[in-house]
Amino acid sequence: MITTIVRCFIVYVLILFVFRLMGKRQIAQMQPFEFVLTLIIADLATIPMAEMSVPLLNGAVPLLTLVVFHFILTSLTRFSNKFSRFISGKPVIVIDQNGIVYDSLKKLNITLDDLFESVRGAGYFSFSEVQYAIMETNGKVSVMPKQENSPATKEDINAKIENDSLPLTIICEGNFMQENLKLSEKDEKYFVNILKKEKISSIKKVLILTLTQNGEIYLQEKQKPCKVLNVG
Amino acid sequence: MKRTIGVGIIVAFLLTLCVLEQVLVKNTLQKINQNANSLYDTAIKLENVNTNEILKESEKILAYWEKNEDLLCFFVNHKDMHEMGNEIIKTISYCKNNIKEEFLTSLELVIYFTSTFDHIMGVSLQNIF
Repeated sequence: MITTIVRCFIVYVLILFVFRLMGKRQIAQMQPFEFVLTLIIADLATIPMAEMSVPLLNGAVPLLTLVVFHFILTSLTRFSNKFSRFISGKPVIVIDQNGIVYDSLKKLNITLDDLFESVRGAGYFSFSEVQYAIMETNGKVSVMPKQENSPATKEDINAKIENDSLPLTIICEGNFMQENLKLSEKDEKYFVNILKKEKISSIKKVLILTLTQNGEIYLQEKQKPCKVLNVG
Repeated sequence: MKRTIGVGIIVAFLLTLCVLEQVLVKNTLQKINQNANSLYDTAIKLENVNTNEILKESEKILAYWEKNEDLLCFFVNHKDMHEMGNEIIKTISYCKNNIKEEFLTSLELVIYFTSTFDHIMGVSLQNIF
């Protein structure tokens, strides 16, 4: 039994390593071949875990070989557009100014219902709202609405535009994020003083503290409501 | 860059394994095959297999097998290893009890296992397809 546990642990670490090497794409963003590869890896991993008579290497070698092939394939797709199209295909226009492109649907082997579903998923409930729809290589449909159906932007309504900045997480679950602290160009003392002003005695009590470029602080103690402070 | 280094390490690891498998497993099994063959040739001429010479040779094969078994386990299916080990041990028992037919059968099986391994695991078109 201990052997099984140890083998499971080794396979788990191996899979973790394999997926880290393969990148961070989610299932919905995967190309078809990547999805198949994921399924194969899952299947391969079970062999050495379930079969005690099979050497662990017999399961690890195919796993690692697939990683190498995947790396070579993705490198080649990065270097050559032609190869990338050969492997992943190319985006196909399924709706244009003239309406649904029936030939594309036939070529892609999708039904009108599938297309309807994808367009609804993009937030449009009638084909008449859609100017263009493109089936991406990962099977997702990107929709460009007609001008009259596209949402108004701040620019359209002449609203005041302020430059937004990405908030930096300074304290997360009671710990200083040193990299972000450096980016904020402030030191720990500065934030400890802010916490003191807010009557928070210890940094360990802080769930989160973020800081934007214009000096807005979002502060929340553990199990307490959040506060928004302006120190700019 | 990190990924490239990672993949490079994997490739090196895989190549090392391939070489190790070819060298280690092939050599070990070849040596057992040679010893078993020569033992078979000697034993088939004798009426009695319960001799010191045969016992010594059988024990030599077993000792060599036991010495290399741990390393072979990394590459060869444990069930196959078990079968092979069983047959080698049987040869000693048959030798001590002087059962010539069974002794020769077990030796033949050892020879068969060791010679077919290359057919099963070696690099060949038949094995690939």
